[in-house]
Amino acid sequence: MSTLPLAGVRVLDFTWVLIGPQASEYLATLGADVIRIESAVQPDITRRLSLMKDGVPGLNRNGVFNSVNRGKRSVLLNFGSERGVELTRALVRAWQPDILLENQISGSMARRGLGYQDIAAIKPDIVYCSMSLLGQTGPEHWYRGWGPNLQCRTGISWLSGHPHDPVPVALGGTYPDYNLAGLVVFSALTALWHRQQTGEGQHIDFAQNEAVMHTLADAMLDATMNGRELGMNGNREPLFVPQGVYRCAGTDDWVAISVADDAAFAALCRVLGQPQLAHDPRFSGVLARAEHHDALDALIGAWTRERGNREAQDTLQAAGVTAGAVVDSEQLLTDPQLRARGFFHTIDHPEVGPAEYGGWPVHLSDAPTHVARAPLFGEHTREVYAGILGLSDAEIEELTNAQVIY
Amino acid sequence: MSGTAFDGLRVVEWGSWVSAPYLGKLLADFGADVVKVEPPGGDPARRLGPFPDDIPHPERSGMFLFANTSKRGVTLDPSSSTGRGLLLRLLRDADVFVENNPPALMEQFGLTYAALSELNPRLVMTSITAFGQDGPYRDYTTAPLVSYAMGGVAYETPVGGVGEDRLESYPPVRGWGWQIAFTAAFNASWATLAALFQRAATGRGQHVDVNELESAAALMRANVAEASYTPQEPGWAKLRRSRVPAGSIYPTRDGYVSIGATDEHQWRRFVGVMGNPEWAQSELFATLPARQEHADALRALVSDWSRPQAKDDIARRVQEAGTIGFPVYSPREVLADAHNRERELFVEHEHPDAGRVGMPGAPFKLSATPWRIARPAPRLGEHNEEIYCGRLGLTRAELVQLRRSGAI
Repeated sequence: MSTLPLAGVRVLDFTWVLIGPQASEYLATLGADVIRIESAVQPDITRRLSLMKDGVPGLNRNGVFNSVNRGKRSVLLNFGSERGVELTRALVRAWQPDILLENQISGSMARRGLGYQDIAAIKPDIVYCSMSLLGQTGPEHWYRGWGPNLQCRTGISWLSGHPHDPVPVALGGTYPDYNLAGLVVFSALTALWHRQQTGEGQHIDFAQNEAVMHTLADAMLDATMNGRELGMNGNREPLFVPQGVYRCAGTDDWVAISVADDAAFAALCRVLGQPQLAHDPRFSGVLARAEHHDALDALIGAWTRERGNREAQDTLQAAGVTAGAVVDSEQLLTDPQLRARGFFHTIDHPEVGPAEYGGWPVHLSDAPTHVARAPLFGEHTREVYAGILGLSDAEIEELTNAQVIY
Repeated sequence: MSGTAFDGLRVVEWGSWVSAPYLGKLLADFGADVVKVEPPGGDPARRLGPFPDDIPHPERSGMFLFANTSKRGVTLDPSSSTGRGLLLRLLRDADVFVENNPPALMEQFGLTYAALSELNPRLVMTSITAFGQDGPYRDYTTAPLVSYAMGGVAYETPVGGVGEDRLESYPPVRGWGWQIAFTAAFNASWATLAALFQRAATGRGQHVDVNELESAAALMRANVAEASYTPQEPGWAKLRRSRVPAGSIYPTRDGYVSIGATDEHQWRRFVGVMGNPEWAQSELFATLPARQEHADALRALVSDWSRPQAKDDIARRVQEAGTIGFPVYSPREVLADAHNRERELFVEHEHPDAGRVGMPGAPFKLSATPWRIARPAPRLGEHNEEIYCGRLGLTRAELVQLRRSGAI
């Protein structure tokens, strides 16, 4: 029988919103025991956003929260209060977590007496992961915000957009939160690996700004090596010509096409019903094609306009041309590849009922994917305080009335 | 104590372009012993650039130099049985094998996980592909733009921006560069470590199957939940309506600034920073739905306020008021920024062919086992002798023979 990869690993989770909860969801689904700290002082914004099952409001009815908090325990703890800090320390002492995650405004955990030094004094080999926008140090470490605003500062908004109307754009997918959650998990497991070998814990200073920079390495190297200030190139790319997003038959219906080399271009010409174009001197070789890119776009666009995005994709792929539908949420849910791969999981939930969720992006041959539901608000409060801290009903009631367990 | 995090971890990478090489780099920069395997023609990223002074050279491609730091490099021809024999010898005592080749090619070469796990049962094999090891799209091909589209991210990009009132007429646009290749590599990085943790308990390796489609689709999990919770109206209409005009990008005298004053609390603070103009008291902008309804008017009014000012000043004043503002930076501004400099966002090292190269530094900072570049990216076949003779025990005569036969 297989154990899950992180069976026995304990994670105390002080994160909220997206990047942190997404990271701890990966850890939970890998088998870690994740205690997510929540408080009625300010319930997670993802419990309050408008996306409620059937439009009926409720802290347990939000699709985003229920998607990124799967498999965790939820415990109420007002760690902004003095007694809440004491209770947190008691929990660390009693439970001995391996990993602590937080994405509070840089420095605020330390001001409360819950910073790395404070926790390491109780649990010296803790892996303490602080994720923030701009890091724990530096003149602007205290800047607050969401990923979609932070991305503007990284250069990616400047680099992404349409050259004929060159204004910076914000990227979809709440960039970079979901994207970087995976790298956060890698950072925590890297430190845990080191601890497993040596017994030594450490502090991780994860700055989203810096991680995004890796994904912009080519643009940044053009700046460091050549002093070049790259601008937007829309959907074009010097190596793959032609390349673009082309309008299809429906409303807001598009297909992305990318031609890798001369062979793929000849295949494209055959699909367009104009095989002779492959020998047209205007389109012979990548440089000529780049020069006449607009003419090619018109030819391709006339063909895609007659078809739906999936038909265009499948026809081109079958012919050896790299292409993919620009899918919306509904099309994602019906994607044949994602379906065949078991990307979606139907999970029951006491308030929402059974619903489909996506988002487990890896397949481990020796570890079955078991995706559990997200916890109700404070669902495991009593279980944790009684079971781990040994508090009596009366003590729990007193702390609840004092708005410490709150 | 301390040292590096992955001291003693042996990794073999046969990767091209970005995804698998970047995973190899993550492990190598944190201390793993990564041997990069290239066919005699080299990783195609050697053609990717950018190049110093725009002169193409296989040892000076910026993306290659970035994605292959801290590794040693050998050449072998996987299409020859001699080349594959060398690869198998390297894999015999490896902990991790990282690759991003088409599944059909790996089958053709007999390099499936089933075969490799017989050779080395403790091996963790991590495959990063376009669409995964099975399913109807298994043999489809992808490109950065196509992964961005098929995962659903392009459909809502741009989600906002200065020209958002005009974007209706433009096609969806991709985020810069190789975004989804990086996303897939991030997922492969934690999944690989998870497999190593599991191996510590079971003694067995396993196959880690990661692909760009699922990695991109996972970025859209909120949209998936939304679509599964409530039937959605098709098309962009709803997307456009849900845009929050005060959470947007505005022109300034020196570029653009991003403001995140969406909820009532943030909005009031932002109005204060603007000096409480009379128009902001209007019923038209009294609530979030009202501001969404009158988005064009609001965008124009806020732009009139922001246009004569400097982006950094606006961002700072907005932050000091406890709400959200960030300047829009270009690559050169990112390099010059004081905060980024203090954090050592970029580091320089010397490469024998490319000279001094400045590139992004630590992806995150570890206090006990810091990130570092142990050595510059390997030149093509640079460590053939060191690895083939030193590790595999070949004689120099055998090495010469391999070179002559074209196997390496």
